[in-house]
Amino acid sequence: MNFKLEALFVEEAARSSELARRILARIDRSLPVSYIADGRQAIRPTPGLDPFACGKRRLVIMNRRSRFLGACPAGSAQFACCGYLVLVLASNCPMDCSYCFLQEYLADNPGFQIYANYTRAFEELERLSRSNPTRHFRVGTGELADSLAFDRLTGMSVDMVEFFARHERLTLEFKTKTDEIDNLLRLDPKGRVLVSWTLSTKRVYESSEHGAAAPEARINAARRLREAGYRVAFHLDPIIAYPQAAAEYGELLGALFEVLDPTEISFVSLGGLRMTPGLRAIARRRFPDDSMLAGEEVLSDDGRYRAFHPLRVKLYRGLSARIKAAAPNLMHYLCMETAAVAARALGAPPSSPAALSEWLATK
Amino acid sequence: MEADTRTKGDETSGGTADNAVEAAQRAPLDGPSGARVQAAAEQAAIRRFGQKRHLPQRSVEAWLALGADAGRMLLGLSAALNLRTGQLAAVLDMLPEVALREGVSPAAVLARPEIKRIAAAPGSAPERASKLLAALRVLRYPRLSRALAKLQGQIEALRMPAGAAVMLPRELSSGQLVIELRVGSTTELDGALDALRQRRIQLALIFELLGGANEF
Repeated sequence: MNFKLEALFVEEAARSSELARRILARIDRSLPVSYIADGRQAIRPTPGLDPFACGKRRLVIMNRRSRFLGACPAGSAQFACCGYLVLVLASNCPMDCSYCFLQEYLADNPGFQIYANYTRAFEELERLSRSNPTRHFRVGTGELADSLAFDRLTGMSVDMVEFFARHERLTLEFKTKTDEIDNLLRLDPKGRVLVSWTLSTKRVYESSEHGAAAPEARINAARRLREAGYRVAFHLDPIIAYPQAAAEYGELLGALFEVLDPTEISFVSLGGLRMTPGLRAIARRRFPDDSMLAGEEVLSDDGRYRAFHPLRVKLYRGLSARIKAAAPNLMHYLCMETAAVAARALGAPPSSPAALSEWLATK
Repeated sequence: MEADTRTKGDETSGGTADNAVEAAQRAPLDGPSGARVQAAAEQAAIRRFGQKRHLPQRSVEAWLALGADAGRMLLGLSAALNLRTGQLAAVLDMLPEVALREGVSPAAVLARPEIKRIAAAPGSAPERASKLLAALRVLRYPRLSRALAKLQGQIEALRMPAGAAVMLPRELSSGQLVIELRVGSTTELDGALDALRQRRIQLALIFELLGGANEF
């Protein structure tokens, strides 16, 4: 996939980095390149333009000042969480999904940053592993960025796969909406790399997922990586409760299970559309013609707009039944929902975050 | 410029809209320049009306973005039903969303029979204004409205005694009922708890409906 870039900025401190060298060697020669003292200067919004959309087209190679490894920003004591850890190797995404939380999360910092000193993350991961000698961890790079969108330029996946392949108790999860898998196909993940795709129905894809690969392309990419020895998983997230949703998400699962044997899928997560009032306002302003943003969401106890409870639970329950019918042992869980909702929707109380985390990291 | 065009009638809320609509209708209609003059007059009327009602700028912009037909129709409706500021803002929030959901123009939404019936119905303006909002809400949240109606019916069928009330979560945002007991003695408490226990089966049905057991 070729994502449009309008400018490349390289922070002076990252100028001689391996990542800068790689990207400069691979970018289109006509792309303007600037060298700047502080990468954060490059991402100041241009007056009069949509700063978030502009930020996506301004790639900034810079050093990260803070830690790379952290807890999933979606995690909260109020939800039944999966214990996912997040590795921030980049911030922002060239795709522009109308529902994306980054529109609010990165509102003040919308440049597309890629961190040249990312190998420092390996030290943090080794410390984590050493200090928890009996635990397995699932660590993902796809929370504040798509894990693979610019892999053709950065080649970061190669270093990541090689590192994780050497660490038995660490599982890497690349999360993507692309079919950028060429680098991965050349590597041996040794069973320790999971690639997951966010999957949506064709209707949601066409209405809301600007620049993403088509759902069938994502599924086919998953099949190819599964054949190459990768674990694969899927996130039906956000599930948008439009009138035909129950049937169409069911069909999506059917299409997935036709291409990939469900027993070969590590897990499926389900998550309903949820938007803070701020995100909702931003999304509607940026995408006024997207009917997916005008669903029957109501303000919920956690301060987010979600499809009203009976509708949401009914959708989850139907999808869970569909998954169980196709593959009784296929692990599926809810993301950013309470234990009560999970129990109602899936028919059993959720596992503790620690147990679920261990399970997802090893399955 | 807008202030210069005000007339004495603008000082009353109903008069504002009446004059605005009349002024808009008086504008010349013939030819492209006539249409432009009329559109400008209608937009000015909307801005004046919004200013009089202290309508937030965001709502005024939403009104102007509805398009000429819907803008004019809503101006007439606002005057006829004497919509209050909050009601008008709510209409302006819901109307474009209904149009977007249904893939029609805002004017087509306002031309729907149920809306026109409310506009033309007898009764007080506040009563009809409330009905307009309720009708738009049903269009904006059709499945939620059906689910709420069904569940409200179940709640009413409980016929809870005085001192005990069962309430649905606001907008069905959760799966939890709120049960309120107002008791002044342990005897009253026992009575209220007994009333709840006696309705256990009906309450179980309500919990099932809240858990998505029904079609919407």
